[in-house]
Amino acid sequence: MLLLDGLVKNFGALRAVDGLSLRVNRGEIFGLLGPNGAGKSTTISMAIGLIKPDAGSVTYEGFGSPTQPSVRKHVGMAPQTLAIYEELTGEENVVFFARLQGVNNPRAAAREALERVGLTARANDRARIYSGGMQRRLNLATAFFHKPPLLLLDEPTAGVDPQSRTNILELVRELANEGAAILYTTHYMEEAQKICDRVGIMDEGKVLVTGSVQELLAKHSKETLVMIDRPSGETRISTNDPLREVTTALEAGDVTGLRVERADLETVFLSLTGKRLRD
Amino acid sequence: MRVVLTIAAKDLRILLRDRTNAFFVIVFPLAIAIFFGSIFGGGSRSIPIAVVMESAGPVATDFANALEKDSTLSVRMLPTREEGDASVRLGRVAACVILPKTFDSDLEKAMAGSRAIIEVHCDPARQAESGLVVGKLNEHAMRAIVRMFTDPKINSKMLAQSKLALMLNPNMTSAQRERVSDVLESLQELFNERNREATAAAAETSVNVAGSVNGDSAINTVNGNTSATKKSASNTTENLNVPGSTATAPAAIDPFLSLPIQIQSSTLTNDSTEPPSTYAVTFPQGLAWGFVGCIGAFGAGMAEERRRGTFMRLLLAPCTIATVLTGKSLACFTACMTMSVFMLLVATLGFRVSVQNWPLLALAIAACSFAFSGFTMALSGLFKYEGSARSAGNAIVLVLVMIGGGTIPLTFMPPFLRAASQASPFSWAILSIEGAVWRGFAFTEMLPSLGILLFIGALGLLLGNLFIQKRART
Ligand SMILES: Nc1ncnc2c1ncn2[C@@H]1O[C@H](COP(=O)(O)OP(=O)(O)O)[C@@H](O)[C@H]1O
Ligand SMILES: [Mg+2]
Repeated sequence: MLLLDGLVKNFGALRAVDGLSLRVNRGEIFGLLGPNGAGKSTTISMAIGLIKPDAGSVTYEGFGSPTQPSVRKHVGMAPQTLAIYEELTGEENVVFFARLQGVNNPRAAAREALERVGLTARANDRARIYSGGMQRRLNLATAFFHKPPLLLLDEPTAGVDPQSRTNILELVRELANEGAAILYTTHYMEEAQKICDRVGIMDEGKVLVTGSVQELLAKHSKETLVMIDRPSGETRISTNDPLREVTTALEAGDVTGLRVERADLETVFLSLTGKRLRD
Repeated sequence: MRVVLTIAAKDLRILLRDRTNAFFVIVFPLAIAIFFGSIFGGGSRSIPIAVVMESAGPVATDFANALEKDSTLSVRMLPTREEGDASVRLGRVAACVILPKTFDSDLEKAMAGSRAIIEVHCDPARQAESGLVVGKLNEHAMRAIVRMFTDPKINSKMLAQSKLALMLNPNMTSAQRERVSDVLESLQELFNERNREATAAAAETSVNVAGSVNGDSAINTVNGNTSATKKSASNTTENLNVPGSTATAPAAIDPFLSLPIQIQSSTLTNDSTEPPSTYAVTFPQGLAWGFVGCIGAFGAGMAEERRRGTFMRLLLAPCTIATVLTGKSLACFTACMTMSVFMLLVATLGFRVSVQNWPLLALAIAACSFAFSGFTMALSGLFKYEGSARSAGNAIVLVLVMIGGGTIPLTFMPPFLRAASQASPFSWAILSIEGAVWRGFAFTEMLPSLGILLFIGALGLLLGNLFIQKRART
């Protein structure tokens, strides 16, 4: 559905996105996982035609390029910065954007979207008095009310309470099951691990690897990390058999601390970049 | 203390981060200071007037020439009083000065009590300038009177004509006639004597010799239409400043024969109606301030959307940026129209302002609303941050309304500002509304201002579009 090919974007001397290519298929959640400043939002902006890439191309397969206004009918986006009118009610917000998109029955579409993000009870309150999590969910509702085949969600769970987060993650899964292609950016590896069918690990403008969570774990972080603290210092051991390493260490004595880190996307990121996802 | 300094430093840093803000804190006050300095300071300025010479006599000709030479007036000679009045109506000149057909012949009979009248038709919206014009006319009338009594060609003819008129005056007893006649005889002798002296001396000192008229006997300015019989002239004397005045006062010889030239000023009236009420004159300016309010309400619109993050969403809609902007302009247009209708209701119902031409007024208001919504869009595209969009926008609008909105009479502005006021949408807005409310514009007379307003609106939309497009895709 979405095809990004060799995207490059420079801001002055800074190369924010550096030759990025990826494909998102229908019914699939593609997670773009990377630390702050990796270039995720810039990629989304290019994917929707808001920013012109210095090189490369964006194609919505079967529709064309998002720089054509008519093609933008088929995409929904939840920007990272909240984009809602605080003076309007939740419903008025969605209705407004639904009209802008040219939806047939904006009011019905708005009601349905609000229902799905759990805001029906507060639909007629002004967005100003919503909690952070509610504003985030409203922001999301304005992305999918028209059931577009492509959804671009830029950190849709940023700064929300656990309850809102659960609602949002479940909803995103449902939308994919209904057949949408979803590009989902996040810097929470737990989220990526939990809902993404495929993940692209991104750092400094480049996608380093792509694949399903299982594939990535298998390929880049086979081993479990065992960390043993001794008065002389910390020892890190990558191993396929953590139990044996721990037993050996304990038998040797003078162990003051012991941690076992199971392989996850965090360790994949660490092994690829030598950095932690969150610093 | 450290905390105070820290907070102050932070605020100043933020202020300077937004370059437009810095501009308006530092450069703008300077510009305003220069602006007012140039208004109230020196420099040459002239009031545009129309002069219609219906009389071709020597005094009228001299008078008109003197007006043309006066640097404080900029004279446009027009052949008929209709054309003169029209140029006042169209706002091209502040007043129309008419020297009627009988001007010279009336003056010739001055000694017999006849009075020459100078008509001034003033623009009611330009009171300050009209006042200056009347003052100037008084000054020149004074000079003309002085000349009348010193120029041999004129004064001997004048005495002869006056005598003749006296002889024919049925309201005088023969004794009275004789007495006045005696006075005129001895006056004739005085003139002859003076004229001989004058020819002997240098030619152009004549003004000094006889520049002796003291104000209260020479001139009468009448506001209104029919006070030709009024004898006192106390109301204008402070304007009269004839250099080198000396003792004797020829015109004061006979109190019965005072006031040879009278300035009769009136506000311009349309043939069919009485002069506009004060409220009718100020109503268009009120509307202009209403438009200022609308610009203020919508001018920061784009910067506001940008701050909210909704700007991006608008750009993502499956339509062009131009469509988004058109929608925003429509909101501004509607606000302008609603405000105008409301103001109009208050003016007509509350203040009994009568509107001469309703269809033209509707056109004018629609054109103004269009012009200002386009203008607002350009303004809105100009600034990136909400704060600067508001403060800078307000400042720009304030200047434009001051130079174009009649707050400061055009005459008091230096030439470059006068030219700039032609570019201010407010000057055209006010003219078009005045045209429909009380200036009695015909449709064709309305066309230029309507055209310019539409042009301003279209240009604003175009520029706003360009600015915003430029910011939209980086
Ligand atoms: N408009 C811009 N001007 C200059 N630099 C920018 C701009 N937008 C983003 N950047 C820079 O580009 C890099 C990538 O930013 P972004 O795409 O927002 O990262 P992410 O969304 O992954 O956190 C960052 O270093 C950021 O500072
Ligand atoms: Mg981001």
